[in-house]
Formats: sequence, C-alpha cells, structure tokens
Amino acid sequence: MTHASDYVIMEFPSLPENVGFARSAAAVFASRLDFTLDELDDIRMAVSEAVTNAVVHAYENGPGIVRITAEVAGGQLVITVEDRGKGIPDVEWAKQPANTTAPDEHLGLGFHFIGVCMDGYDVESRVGGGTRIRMVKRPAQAKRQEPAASSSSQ
Amino acid sequence: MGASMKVLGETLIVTLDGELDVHSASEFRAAVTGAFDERPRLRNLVLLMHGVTFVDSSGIGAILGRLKEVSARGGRLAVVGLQTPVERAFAMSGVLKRISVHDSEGQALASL
Ligand SMILES: Nc1ncnc2c1ncn2[C@@H]1O[C@H](COP(=O)(O)OP(=O)(O)OP(=O)(O)O)[C@@H](O)[C@H]1O
Ligand SMILES: [Mg+2]
Repeated sequence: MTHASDYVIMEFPSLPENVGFARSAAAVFASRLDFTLDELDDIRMAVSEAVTNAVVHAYENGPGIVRITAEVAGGQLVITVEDRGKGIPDVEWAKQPANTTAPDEHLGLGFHFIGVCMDGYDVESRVGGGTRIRMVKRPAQAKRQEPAASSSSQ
Repeated sequence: MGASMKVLGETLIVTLDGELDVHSASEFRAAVTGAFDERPRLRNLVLLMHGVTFVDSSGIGAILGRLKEVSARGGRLAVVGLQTPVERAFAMSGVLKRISVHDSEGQALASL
C-alpha cells in the first residue's frame, strides 16, 4: 500500500449551480479509495451540505468564493470546505439538529447529515472571518481489514 | 432537475427527475406554489420521485415546505418511488413520520 497522499483543490464562486458540481467531483475523487456505493452517497451528501451552507449562510446568496480540498492520506478521505463569509457565532449551537438561523426555509439538518454521513468532522469559524469545516471518512472495508491503520506507516 | 405537472381533480401530481438540492429546490418550490396559486381548487400534492437520484437537506426542506402549503389548504401530501439514497436521506431527517411514502401513483392517490 502506498503512503503518498493525493489531493485536489477546487475553488469556485458561491453559486447554487456549483453545489452539484462540487459533490459529484468529490465523489469521483473519493472513488479512488475502496468506498461502497452507499459510502459515496454519504460523501456526496456531506459535501452538498457543507457547500450549501457556504452559499446560503456564509455569503447569504451573494458573491463569495468557496474552496474545497479533498485529500487521500493514510487510507482515509479528508475533505475541507472553506468560505470567507460571515462566520458562525456559536458553532456548538449550530451543530445541534433542528438549530437554524433561517427557520422559514431551513430545517437545521445540514450538520446533522454531515455527522451521520462522515466518520467525523470539525468546524472552525470566526465571525466576520469565515468558516472551515473538515470532514473525514475511511472506507468500512479498510476499517475491518486494518483496524489499527496508523501502524501501517511503520 | 426536471419537473412536469398534471392536475387530477383537487390533486396536483408532479413528476420530479434528477437531483433535488439548493439549486433545483427553488425551481421546484416556485413551480408548485405557482400551480397552487393559479388553481384555488387544488389542495393535495403527489410527488412522483422515481427519477430522483439525490436529495439533501435543502430538498427535504422544500418538500416539507410543500407539506405546509397543502396542510394550509386542508389537503395532503403523498410521495411515490424513493430510490435508495433518497430514502436514506428521508430516514436521516426524520420526516418519514410526517410524510406518507408509496410504491405507486395509484396507491398514493388512494391515500389522499
Ligand atoms: N458556512 C457557514 N457560514 C455561516 N453560518 C453557517 C455556515 N454553516 C452553517 N451555518 C449556521 O449554522 C446553522 C446550522 O446549519 P445546518 O446546515 O445544520 O442547518 P441549516 O443550513 O440552517 O438548515 P438545512 O441544512 O437543513 O437547510 C445555519 O442555520 C447557519 O446559521
Ligand atoms: Mg445547511
């Protein structure tokens, strides 16, 4: 097994049209790991949620740039979605299911979906500075075969 | 995303195709709300979703928004034909408690 990491970086204007491109591109990149079709669906969902949040919340449907890095390292997929938008005042509150600052149109499900679909994620945010969400997923097959994956780097 | 509509008595039947996300959800919302506004007699909505390959929280939000719209008119919403990823999204969101899902259009119409 190779230890070299591989990555792609995508950057695009904050437009709803680009959300579909972003999740598809992320899934195509992810398919170089041994993910099942269900797992690729999970990755599509998580990326869709993170990018949609950048478009509708960070930039409030106005101009802005969304940057995505997808990386394969140590047998796992790491995806970060970054914006330079308005930021999240209380990240712990925002992560709770059904918590939303736009209750007319939104259900507050995005972070909940990300949590269900990925193995883990964390959010760094600064009000007025922007938000960066980092999401990690390892193929379930690899989890079964080598539970102590970090030892493979010896 | 594609959407085509037909009217059957008091029921609007919408066929959806493709991916229902933040981009297509606004088209979907506008199409259904427009049809309801034009025809005050309409009160039920049936969504034929066999051709939908992806739904995220924005899509679920748009569907629940239509549920509110038909409820306000004293009507009902029924959904038909969920592909596996779409069904998983519905399950994750918890909306299956509030939305009736069917295998066929006939079954959905009978449930109204
Ligand atoms: N990138 C971001 N920039 C600024 N605020 C954000 C960002 N991402 C999320 N938020 C805030 O966190 C809240 C919760 O996000 P989450 O995706 O869980 O729900 P939502 O987007 O409100 O609803 P849904 O995802 O169901 O459409 C949002 O309402 C918003 O206030
Ligand atoms: Mg969201």
